[in-house]
Amino acid sequence: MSQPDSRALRGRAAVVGFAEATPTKTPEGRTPLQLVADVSIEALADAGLAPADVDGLVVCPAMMQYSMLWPSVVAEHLGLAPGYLDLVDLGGASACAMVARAATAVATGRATTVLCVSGDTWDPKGMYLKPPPLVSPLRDFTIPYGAAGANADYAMAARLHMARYGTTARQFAKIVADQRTSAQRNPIALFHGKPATIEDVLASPMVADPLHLLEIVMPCSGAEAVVVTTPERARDLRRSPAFVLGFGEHLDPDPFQREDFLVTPVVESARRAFAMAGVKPAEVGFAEIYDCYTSAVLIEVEDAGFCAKGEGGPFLEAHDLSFAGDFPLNTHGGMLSFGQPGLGGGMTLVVEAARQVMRRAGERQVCRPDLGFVQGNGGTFTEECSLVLGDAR
Amino acid sequence: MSNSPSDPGSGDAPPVPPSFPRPLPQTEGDAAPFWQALARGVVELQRCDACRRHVFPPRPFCPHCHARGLSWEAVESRSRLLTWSIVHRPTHPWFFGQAPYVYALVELPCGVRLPTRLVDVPHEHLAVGLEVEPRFERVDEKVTLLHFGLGTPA
Repeated sequence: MSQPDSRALRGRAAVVGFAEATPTKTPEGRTPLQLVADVSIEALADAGLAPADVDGLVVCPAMMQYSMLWPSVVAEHLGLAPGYLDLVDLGGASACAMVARAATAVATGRATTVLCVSGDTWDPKGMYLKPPPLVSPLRDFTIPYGAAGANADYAMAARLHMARYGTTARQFAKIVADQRTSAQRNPIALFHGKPATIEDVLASPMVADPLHLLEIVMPCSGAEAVVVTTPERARDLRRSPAFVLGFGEHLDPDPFQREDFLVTPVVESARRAFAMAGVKPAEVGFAEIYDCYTSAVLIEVEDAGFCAKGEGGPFLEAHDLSFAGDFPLNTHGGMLSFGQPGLGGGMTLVVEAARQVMRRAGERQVCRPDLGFVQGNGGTFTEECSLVLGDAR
Repeated sequence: MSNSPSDPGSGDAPPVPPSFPRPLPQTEGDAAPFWQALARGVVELQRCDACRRHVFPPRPFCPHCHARGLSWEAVESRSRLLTWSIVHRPTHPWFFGQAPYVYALVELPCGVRLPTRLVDVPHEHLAVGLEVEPRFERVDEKVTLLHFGLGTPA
């Protein structure tokens, strides 16, 4: 049997509108469902579309309002009756994977206009007292040794990278500092008005050595939505679209037993996305790379092909990573400066990529917005999804 | 520090009830022989009778070839340190009083890597490739945890 050619999906769908809630440190009395509804309404208005135009809905779980039948719950609340529904539960890779599914549905005729929406609240007490259920036999072999959450695993990745390749604490810290520079052009980022130097990052408390507090993402309440439709429909709408040129996905479920702890399934997800788009990493004008931790960014940058394995430290040091730089990275400040609204946190990266491609980034507009790359990363480099967005088909 | 957030991110711990119990593994089910072996001071892993590869975490079939015949075997447990993190601010409340502690990934001679905790290893000794050996920490009659410590010179 011949392999289907993924290039048939290239440019067959486009992002034509988006909305993003202002991230907040507490729920401020709102539920995830309320946040999801608010950004959905805004995103459709942004695209110039009516509720009746939506015939597809893709959601991801909300940790603070974990519910079965979540797609139906969201659809019912918004008064939608779509013919295509999906729930994407791939951790930090969910957002990119939601857009990939929406694009596939649109390209194959299952739907014409798909709303992709994520939203969550953050209440630290809620997470401790009532965490969402997760059945994973591997957890019996990690949590009793002191590794609840992901901090220690990403710290171990950073430590091994330093030991094997000579990567420095300053190189990791520079990621935060450069992203903070971009965040100063993003009024809604949680760290707007709070620039940080490499020295500030290194002076922040050590949480899981070698990761400092400011190298670890801050969970928040927030929500994002994007509207995906056909290129034909996009032509008649008010916004100039961001075409979905490529996407790729890969899962490697056990980070500890894989051949090399530092070679992740990003290699395969990015390879597939670039192959579909027919472009090389070097052609990309900016990148939005899932930044739950600085070590995540550096390893994803390597595995996506922007530099060779082991050269992430010198590569990120040699480039200005701010929106105005020569390798614009996480141009809304990244989640490290913006905040991470739950499992859909990666949607802030998708929204920013669409914003840049659509020339709507205002005073943080990058100079080469024609082609952007987005990486979503879940677990400890386990679920991976890559997207390539561009301004032309 | 002026740049730190006024309330904590995931790297900082919120207040929790003082009675938070120690997180311990389920010792019943597929992994029962693993925990029973640790209670006897032995490290046993599953190995596939068909493809001969080791299987971890334990399960009723081989994830490599899907064969159902697996045997438990004692394995050489003197291991090499692959990587580690010194945890200063734990995420699970039970560990608050344990910090700083060393969470680590060690590689057994058979190739299986185990997440673990290093005990009694001075931080200046930490290095990729450091030889470590088991320290069986008996928690109660059901649970013995597999920690690792410095190897004794041959």
